[in-house]
Amino acid sequence: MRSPAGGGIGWTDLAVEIAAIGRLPVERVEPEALLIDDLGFDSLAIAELIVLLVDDYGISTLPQDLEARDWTDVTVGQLRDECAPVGVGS
Amino acid sequence: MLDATAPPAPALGPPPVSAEDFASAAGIAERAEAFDVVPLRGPYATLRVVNPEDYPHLRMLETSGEMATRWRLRGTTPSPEQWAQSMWNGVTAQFLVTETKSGREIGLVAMYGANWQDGHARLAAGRFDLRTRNPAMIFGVAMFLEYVFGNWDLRKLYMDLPEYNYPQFSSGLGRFFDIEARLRDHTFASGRYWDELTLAIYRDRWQAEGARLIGGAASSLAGGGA
Repeated sequence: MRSPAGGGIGWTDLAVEIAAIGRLPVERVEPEALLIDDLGFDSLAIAELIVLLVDDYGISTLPQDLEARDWTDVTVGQLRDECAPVGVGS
Repeated sequence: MLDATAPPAPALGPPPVSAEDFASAAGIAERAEAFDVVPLRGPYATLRVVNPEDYPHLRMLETSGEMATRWRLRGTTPSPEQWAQSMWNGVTAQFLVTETKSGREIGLVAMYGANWQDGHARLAAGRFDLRTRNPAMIFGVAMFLEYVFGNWDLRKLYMDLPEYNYPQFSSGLGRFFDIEARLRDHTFASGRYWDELTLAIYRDRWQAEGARLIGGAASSLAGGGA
């Protein structure tokens, strides 16, 4: 588990992880970027991201129906807000 | 004349068990504990066998909408009997992929065309709703790969697909699979020719790189196997 006690992931780590999965320069990972349309995430990349957030960072604040949600409109900023460490503002 | 050196008649009852035999038996027990049952149910996706009751619904899904032209039937409409037979041609294992929480059917996965001598087979994976980027199908495919590599000693799985279906999981190139063949202008669909790609998923790479997809699904299993 890579997350601090209580779970969660900070902005820098999230951007780095998203850049690694998407094989993108980290500068392109901006809060308003759409995962699919702007960063080119396909369903395999989204699956990798889910596993990373849930298993490696212990994120428990994501919406329950990860498999059924519409990922088309999900931005990096939205994901950051959903994954913010408990008690830490975004 | 009687042979005075003839061996004595065998004793009745079980043969004596040596200390070495006991040790060996203990080793067997330890090894048996390492037997892993490949899960068919994860937090996001579940694999379940295809039953005859599924046929009408599956045939309708396969012969209507985008799947009718983008997947294996490629626009043809076989009779119900032909369709049912084609479902199992050369198939070793096939499952419906469903969303674990809703039970909604989202796709099919199959292993077919196994070549046991050379250690490879072919993988088919079809998503019913082709427009969605829903990752549950990926988790279903990941579980199926674990199932296949766990049950059969195959070196690699090939996946044949026209290039228009490739973008759904192209991010896995070089990590989960390689492109090992490309047939130029091989497939006619949607008014033009497309390249046909053959992807290869290697057992060792899958176990090193892909296992984390199933690892998460398996580690947080709720409710046990399928």
